[in-house]
Amino acid sequence: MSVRSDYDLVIIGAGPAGLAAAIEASRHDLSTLVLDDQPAPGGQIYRNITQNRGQRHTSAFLGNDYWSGSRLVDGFAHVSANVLTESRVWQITNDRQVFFSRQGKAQNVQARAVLVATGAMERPIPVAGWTLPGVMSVGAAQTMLKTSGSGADGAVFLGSGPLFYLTVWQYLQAGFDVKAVVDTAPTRMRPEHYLLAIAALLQPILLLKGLRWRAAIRRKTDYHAGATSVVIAGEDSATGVTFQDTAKRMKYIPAKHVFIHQGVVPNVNLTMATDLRHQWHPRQLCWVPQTDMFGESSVDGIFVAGDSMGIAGAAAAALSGKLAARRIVANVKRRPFFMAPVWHALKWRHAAIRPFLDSLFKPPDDWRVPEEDHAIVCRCEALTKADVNAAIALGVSGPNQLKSYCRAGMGRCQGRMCALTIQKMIHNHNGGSEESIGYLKIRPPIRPLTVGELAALTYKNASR
Amino acid sequence: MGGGLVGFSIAYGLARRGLGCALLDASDTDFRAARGNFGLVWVQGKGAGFSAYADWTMRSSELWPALCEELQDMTGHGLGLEQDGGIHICLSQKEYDDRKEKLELLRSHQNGRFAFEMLDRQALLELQPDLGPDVVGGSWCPSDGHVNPLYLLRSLHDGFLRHGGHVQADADVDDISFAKGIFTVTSRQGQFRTPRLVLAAGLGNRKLAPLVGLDQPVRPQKGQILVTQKTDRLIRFPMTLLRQTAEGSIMIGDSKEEVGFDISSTTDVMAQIANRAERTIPALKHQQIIRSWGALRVMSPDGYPVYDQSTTHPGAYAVTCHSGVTLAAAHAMDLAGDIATGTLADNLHAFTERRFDVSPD
Amino acid sequence: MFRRIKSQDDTVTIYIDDKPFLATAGEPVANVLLNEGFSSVHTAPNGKPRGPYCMMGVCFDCMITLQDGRIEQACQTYAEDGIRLYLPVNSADRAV
Repeated sequence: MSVRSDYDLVIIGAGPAGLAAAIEASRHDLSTLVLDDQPAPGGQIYRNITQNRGQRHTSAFLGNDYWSGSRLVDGFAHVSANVLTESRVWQITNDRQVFFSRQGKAQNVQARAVLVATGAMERPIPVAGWTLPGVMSVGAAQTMLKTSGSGADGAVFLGSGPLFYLTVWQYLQAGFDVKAVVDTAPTRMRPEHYLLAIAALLQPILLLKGLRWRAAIRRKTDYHAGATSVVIAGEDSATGVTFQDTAKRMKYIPAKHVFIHQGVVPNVNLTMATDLRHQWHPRQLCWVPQTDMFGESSVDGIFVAGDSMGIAGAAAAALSGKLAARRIVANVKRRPFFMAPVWHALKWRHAAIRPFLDSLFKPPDDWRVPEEDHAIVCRCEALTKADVNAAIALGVSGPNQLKSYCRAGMGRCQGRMCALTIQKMIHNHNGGSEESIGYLKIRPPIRPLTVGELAALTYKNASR
Repeated sequence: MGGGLVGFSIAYGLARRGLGCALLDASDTDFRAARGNFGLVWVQGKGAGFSAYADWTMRSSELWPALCEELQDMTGHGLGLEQDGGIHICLSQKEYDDRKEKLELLRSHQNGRFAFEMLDRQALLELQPDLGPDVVGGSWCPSDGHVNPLYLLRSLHDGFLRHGGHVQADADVDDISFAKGIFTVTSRQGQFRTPRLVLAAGLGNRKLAPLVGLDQPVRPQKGQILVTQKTDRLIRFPMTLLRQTAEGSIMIGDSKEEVGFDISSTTDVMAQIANRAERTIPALKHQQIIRSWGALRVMSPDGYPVYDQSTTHPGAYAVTCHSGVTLAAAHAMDLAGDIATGTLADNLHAFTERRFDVSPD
Repeated sequence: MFRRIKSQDDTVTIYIDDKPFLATAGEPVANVLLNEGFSSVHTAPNGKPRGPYCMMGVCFDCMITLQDGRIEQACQTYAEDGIRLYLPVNSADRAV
């Protein structure tokens, strides 16, 4: 497949939002390119779905929500959009040049419109011991199920949230032996939960499904509700989990594998590096790009869809991808777009349950900032909470000054694993509003590339 | 005023002399040239047309070990200072010849005080193995070196606090008034009164200097830097455009762009920077770039520092330079000493802004 | 220890520190590392061992070295027949 030098629409991410957008744009004859960093479309939620279909019976444990993605992936396979897999986008300029690396070679394409649909990542959760080998996020465990059909027996699941319960459920369905489930969600619903649950009734199936999973997990595993004061023990690898139960007793469960989770947040490094304006989401406790109702950001022609624009789940993501594509089609063809409010309402309906879930599964404070001074806060630079606090104590005006004083955020991950934590730590010390503390300034390249790759780009540009 | 390297060097210097000192710093997302500093403590090539600057640079380089030891002893944090020499690489015969000419001129103006050597490719390879085929040679200066500029800033800040200094963050300054020998500074965090005021706000000095009867015609000049992963020692001595930090990451510079107040990372410039680095040390080819910088140098019309003491508003100083790391020692030790006694040493009079008013006759 | 519950259809041989291992074509090599019991693959700046955490390319704790000397994320490197990877022995990010 030969790649053109310019497209009407370049979509970054082949998850539900990106796929739905590509299908829609192709239907209206827009020249479309999809860039995704994996070997096949599907994003994180439908990861490896095409390969797994060959052995569907052995992957039935992945559940209906996973398999429902087949429709989208199949739909995408039949459209005229170009797709480049294993492509890592590392920069988008304001005039919509998209730079990416593929098989060790840096390239660029020009787009009339760009749709960022890079989805979500799990919230970084610096509990003491989270950097020990053997500790992985729950999403990582789920990815192993999807991409290898493999899992670990004797694991402790630790945390809470929809993805948490789903993955335990999938583990049980697949026949793995789950050592224990240590649930950190509050054991009793509070008044605001009940209030928000009203809107959640618009998605009754989801509600019931969640209740069903939770009930099964309670029955089938060594289940501990309302856990607090969590520490993962071990010297050079995980050996177990200690926590306090609701009766204030300290408990210890030995385990070599610990899977942790406290919800997902948009993966904002690409949108931040592109200088899009962002705003703080006070309930989801994360940053989201500012967009209009179609998903257009503060930069002309750059759109955001799916979980990248705010966590709302796969169904809402597909709709938002379609909505953004429709708008882009209308712009390119200079046509009006009347049905937008209808779509917007549909999208909202698919996300109606979110406020309830966000509130019920709000990450506990000691998962946002650890209690222990020795807990690692910046993984890449191996900085502990004490290290970072020593710099904060000098008096820093924000995360960028903090970064320059102690290196937090300077590693390869460019703050993905620590920016939210250090923002909260500065807030704890300085006061004011969480939003006013701000986020690390993220700059391209947002994925590493070699000096050689970047140097080779000179020649390409020179010959243009 | 100003929490960058110039501001903190002077503030530290004043506080360690026992003066009660407050430092007003603006906000986290401001341009902040100090965060974009490469980290060279560099002598070679400086002041080719301005011998007072060449002397001042040399003086600072000589004072650096003392500043470093003082800060390290006080704060317990290492600064990673190495002053074992530095190299300026030439990738063509023309570059080599031009460099030689410039440095010989510099040496002749300095009465031979400035030591350097032009080294051909063979000689350079003994200092730095694995040079690329395009490397023709370079200039070597035994006084050159480098340091971690961010740890320097942190240590100056820390040292300043330990000597009783007060830092006020988010204190963007709106106005300065002067009456009966006292300055009243109106900032976002309230008002401050003082008989002595130092403007060290980098690009911000342009707006503030006239308020104390001074002029600081500085403009932004953009520089971009790439930073690689940490790796085994590949670069033995710092170079003007390449240095390896104590942690192992390699910093690659740079550019000199006149694009106003823009610090975006631009691919064409980044690619050029990467290209030159690879031509210098081919082994860099497989090193991953994990982040980039873009920062604005604070540039005076001739590129040299501007130090002024106000005559209309006695007690006010305005200081600016773009080599905040190299000059940190001279700022902390010498210049702070002048400011503490309300003077400005003779050897610094050449740096007044009035030099820009000189009309040719 | 991770174990597979699906049979591997399309297998390839990959080399970890020059020892051969069977992998499913196209699967992330991080999966192979975990399935074969390598829980740590590199060392952090504080000297402590680290291994895969997120499996989706955002944590950068699954770093391995490829044959040409490039350091890559194991979860973003896909199994092809004959691919060789090396686990850094010393401190993090040191190219072997």
